[in-house]
Amino acid sequence: MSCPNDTLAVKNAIPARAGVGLRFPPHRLVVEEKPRVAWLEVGHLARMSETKAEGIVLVPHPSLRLFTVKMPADTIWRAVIEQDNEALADISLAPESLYIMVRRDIDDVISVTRTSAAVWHFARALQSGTSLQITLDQIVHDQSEMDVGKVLGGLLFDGCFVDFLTDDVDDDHLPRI
Amino acid sequence: MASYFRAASTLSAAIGFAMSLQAPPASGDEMASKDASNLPQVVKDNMARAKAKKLDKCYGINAVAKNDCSEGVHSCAGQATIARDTKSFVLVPAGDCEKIDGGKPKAS
Repeated sequence: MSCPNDTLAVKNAIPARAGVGLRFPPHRLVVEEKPRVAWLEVGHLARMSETKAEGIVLVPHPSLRLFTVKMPADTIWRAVIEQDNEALADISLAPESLYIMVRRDIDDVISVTRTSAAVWHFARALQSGTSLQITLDQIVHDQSEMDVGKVLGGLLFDGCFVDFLTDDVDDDHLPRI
Repeated sequence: MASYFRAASTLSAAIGFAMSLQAPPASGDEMASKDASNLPQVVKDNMARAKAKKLDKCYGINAVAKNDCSEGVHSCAGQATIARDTKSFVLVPAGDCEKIDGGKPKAS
């Protein structure tokens, strides 16, 4: 399912769909080539003192890639991989900003997920090393419709992070990568 | 202070939610409840395929020996001895099972 031939097939099948051929397969290829590292165990995070929550920084999984595209690259990719000509024919190429997350998931499968803009910006802030508190203050403050606990829980469950850092230098948590 | 509480409460909610997702299901579900490392390769492959392609289990629609897995009546893929076995499933696109005559999302 995640063999390099999939990427080759995409490149060969949709060369005319500029933007997809140029941007999406390389993202996927980068994810495929990233090393397999251990994901953050949620129980490990749960044992951290609550007083350190404000300064916590989550270390992203090296395979995590977040990017935007102006056409349904994820749908095109799946249709090509599955050789579904009907799905390919149904794809609308009307310009639309899509927020895409590509990562190696906990089942070791390359996962391509379309997210909302709010979730994407939240994940992007955490991925860039912004602390949870600053992310909440700067990214989430006006996203009242977003259940940030569930969103963060979903990212943790999906294996988007490998470790966490806190302000406390004496803490026993150091990056494992 | 309010700032601290926000980060702490968000993290607490996130950990609780992630742990609830990790918890095994209450019912006996062969594909979901076993330790993944002990599963046969065909089951791992099916799990990966179901997750990657957003597939759901659909019981009661298989042809003989064409099932993807089952609930306890035989080891797994390709071993159904009867067609339309209500304990064997085929993976179908999410939401399509109940559009198929005889298709059920749960074993019966």
